[in-house]
Amino acid sequence: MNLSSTHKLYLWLTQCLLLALFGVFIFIEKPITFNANLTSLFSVEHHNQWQAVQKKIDANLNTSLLYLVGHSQQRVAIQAADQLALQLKQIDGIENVSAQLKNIPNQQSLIDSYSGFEQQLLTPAFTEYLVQKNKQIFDLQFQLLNQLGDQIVGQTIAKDPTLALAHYLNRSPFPSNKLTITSDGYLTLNYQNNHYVLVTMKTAEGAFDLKTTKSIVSQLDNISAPELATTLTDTSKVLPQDQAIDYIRTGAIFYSYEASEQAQQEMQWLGGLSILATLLLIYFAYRRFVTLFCTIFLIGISIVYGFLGLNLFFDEVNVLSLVFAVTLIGIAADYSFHSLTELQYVSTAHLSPLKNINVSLILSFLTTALGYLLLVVVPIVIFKQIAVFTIFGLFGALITVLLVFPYLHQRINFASNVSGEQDNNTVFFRVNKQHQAMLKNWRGYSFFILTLSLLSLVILGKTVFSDDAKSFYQVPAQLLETENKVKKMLGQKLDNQYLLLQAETPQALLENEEKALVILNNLQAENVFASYQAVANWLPSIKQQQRNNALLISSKKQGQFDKLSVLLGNNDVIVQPINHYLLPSHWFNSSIGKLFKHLWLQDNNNYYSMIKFAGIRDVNTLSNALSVLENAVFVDKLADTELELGTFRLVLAYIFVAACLAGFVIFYLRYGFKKACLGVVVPACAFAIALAISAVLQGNLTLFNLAAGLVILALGLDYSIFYAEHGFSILITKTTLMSALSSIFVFAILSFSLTPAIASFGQTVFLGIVLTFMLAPIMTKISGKRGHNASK
Amino acid sequence: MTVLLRFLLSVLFVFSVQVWANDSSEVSHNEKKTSINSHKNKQTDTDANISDPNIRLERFLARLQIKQGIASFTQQKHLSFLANPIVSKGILKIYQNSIIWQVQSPVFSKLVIVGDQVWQWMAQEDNNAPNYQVVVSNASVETLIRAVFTGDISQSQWNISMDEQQCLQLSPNDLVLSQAINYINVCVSDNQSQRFVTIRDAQDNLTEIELMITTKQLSDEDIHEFVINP
Repeated sequence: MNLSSTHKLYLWLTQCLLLALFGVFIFIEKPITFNANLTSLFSVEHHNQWQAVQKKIDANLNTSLLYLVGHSQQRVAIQAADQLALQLKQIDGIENVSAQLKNIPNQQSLIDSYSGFEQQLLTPAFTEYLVQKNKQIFDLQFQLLNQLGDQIVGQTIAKDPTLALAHYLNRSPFPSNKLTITSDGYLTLNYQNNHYVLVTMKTAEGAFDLKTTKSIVSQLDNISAPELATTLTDTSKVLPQDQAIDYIRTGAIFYSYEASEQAQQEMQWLGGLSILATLLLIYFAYRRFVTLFCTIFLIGISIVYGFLGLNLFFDEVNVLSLVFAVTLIGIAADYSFHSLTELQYVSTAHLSPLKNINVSLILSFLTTALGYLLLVVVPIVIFKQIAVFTIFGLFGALITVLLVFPYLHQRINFASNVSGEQDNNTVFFRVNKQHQAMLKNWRGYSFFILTLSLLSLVILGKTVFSDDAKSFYQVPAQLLETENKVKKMLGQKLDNQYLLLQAETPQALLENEEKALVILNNLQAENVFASYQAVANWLPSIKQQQRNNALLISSKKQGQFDKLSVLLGNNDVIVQPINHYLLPSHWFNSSIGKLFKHLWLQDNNNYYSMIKFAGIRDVNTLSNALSVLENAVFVDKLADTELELGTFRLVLAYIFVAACLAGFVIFYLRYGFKKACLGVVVPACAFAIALAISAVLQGNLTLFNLAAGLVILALGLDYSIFYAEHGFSILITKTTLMSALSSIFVFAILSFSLTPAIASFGQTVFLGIVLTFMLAPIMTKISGKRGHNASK
Repeated sequence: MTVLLRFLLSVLFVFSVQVWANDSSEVSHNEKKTSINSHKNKQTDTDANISDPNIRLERFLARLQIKQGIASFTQQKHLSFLANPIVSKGILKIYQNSIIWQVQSPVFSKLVIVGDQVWQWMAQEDNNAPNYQVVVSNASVETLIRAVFTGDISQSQWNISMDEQQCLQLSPNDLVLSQAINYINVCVSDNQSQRFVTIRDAQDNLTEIELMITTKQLSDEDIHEFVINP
């Protein structure tokens, strides 16, 4: 169908209108949000029964935020903490602010938590003393009676003279830390001669949204500085002039804030420099301002399409994905170069001025889109977002070039202002000469490149691949320092790993936990880890309560409590038979139960519980030992992510091979076997060499270096298509050089990113494009089905 | 509670080994035995000249700093629900900031405080390597242990008072400890190798402990006992 340029414009405007309406609809129905949540950026998404509950657990961890308010005088520190809490409560997006505990758990309240259930609770050690013949239960009972400073025996002996309950409660339910509770409920600690008061809070749901994060952190910044100082003027008598209140804060939101600030800065700088470089390149090539406007228009349209794609497929987009998406500028500008160069030499009366390059442009889009589309296979959200943004953006650029540029061609003079003589002195001419020189000895160059590729493969064989997700992004040293300092101050020893158990009923879940505890107690005795926190350790299942009571009754009958009875003045040690059970619904409302509530979760009709660990020394042994448990999963997010990133790295390598084969098939069908071989081998070799150079420069390689391969292949195939379609000429040299330079600028600029993942991606693509551009003209030396060949 | 226990252990040992803190004085260990009274008087005179009670206290606590030693103890526990006190005997060892509280009779038990953790000795079936388990860890006690050894007991956490008989009274400000202890009284006899510690708990039970310092040197074997290698 031959449409006039005006009809094409109308067609473009119609689809634009439809897309604009569609965009408005999406924006109203499901507006996209931008976040800077680093913790979820490189995590792998699963769709199994554990995913939803793990997300809940992660969300809870990520929303925690704390302040330590310090001063040499505790009274001043407490007053400052109170002031801080008051102001924090005023901030939108901050909730559950707590500087002072209201219901402080004490020994009596712990004992009361088990009131009425005293003789159905046994520790594993107490059970061991009762059942093992070589152990005397009296030894354990005497230890309890004789324990220095013990209070529990005196408070529980009337209800349970066997001292089983006393032994049960002679443990700390609190995780290990260095906090002390003041009489009025403030959690305090001493550090370097200062008293610090702990103020905890949570960020509200959705606080990782870019705007909310920024708003919360800037409000927090304002609190820390002058406001508090003025509110403390009433304490000037006790506040030495030379000592300020020390505020130490940590939480995921600060990392997100820094990440978003850095990403936004990079977007501005890298994006700005990329556009500037591209525009200079256009002006240098065409010496016409109109070409600048056309290219800016094209880039603008492609960005709009990119965002439309993101809106269609994602509810939430990470800001770091947008930094990656800067690459769209360089690739979208290619279409502008190809068409502008063509339009320079085509008469304005021509009905289809881009007829000669239509196929090249469409093929070029298809190969690039295919390359990015394959990135979607990798189940890491950042890759999906980059792919969707780029594919939609390029599609927008392509249809704009095909439908709008012919109309513009009729209205605007695109002819170059550079005279023929000047043209002969331009970079394009010189590059063309260099290419000509290379083509004269193309076999030698080919041999050299193949040798270099083999050498690169040897280097790559010895290169270490890093799958540590934390090394993919840069965390400000100051934040890390503060986090480590806070951990040291609090004496926190809880590890990130945990065991997640699932069951359909609370009792079944407790029984599952009890099975796990048998394994865990053995592992703890073998020092695989220091300690753990589990609900079943403080709340036995009904079946376990029955077993415990039965054991106490049988031990009494066997006379195991007689020695204790004598010590107590021949008072009979009575064991009452069980008549009702301690249930989760009751226990979680008790003072001790509240401490464990965060370990117990419900999702749909299933119950989940977490067992947390402290001081893990051998995570592999722990993980292996727990793998025998049914309905349980050992969660080691960092290690799991590392393992999965390693797998995806291999998947990405296979995808690259698949993309090469796909490219080969397309080339084979259009250009024949020899050109297809060369079309694929050139970018593949360029990629191998670029990877090897990156490995030498970086010291290791990551998933992002490998991801660069698809972009190198896609762009390399583009260059080959133009040479295969149009042969070797100064015009094609100009087009491909412009195209390569625009991409080179963008990716080279990207390699200066402060985010290691982006920098390594940019660096490898940059090196790869330089090499593919240098070698692409060899395509014209190979005979094939179509196109023009350079003279041999 | 073991929280309390850790505190008590540290306080007990501090006072039991106070004499070692005087190593830097001109008087040798043997000489001390014969001139304890004069030494004490000299010390009291010096302290009496200091009008600021805080400085007096600081000086007293500074003398508590010790490196290592062993003391034997006898403990009598008067529990309100027992007609007769529970009597036990054992030894207390200290090495740097670590403490071992070992009851030897009538029933063996052993607690080791290393760093900020309390380890309980667990009986082994095969009597091979000793097995320890963490029983509790609490910052208030950790802070106190460090404070006592550095002579810097936080007055915001503890009410501290001293009497003329060189007895120190501590009553806790810390909520957790105050739920367990009313007060602790530590006295030093004329013979400085003996210490008497009285603990009155929140339920009015009384624990009396008599400590006798036996040595200020630990053998390699003793030091090895502090190595908990979990």
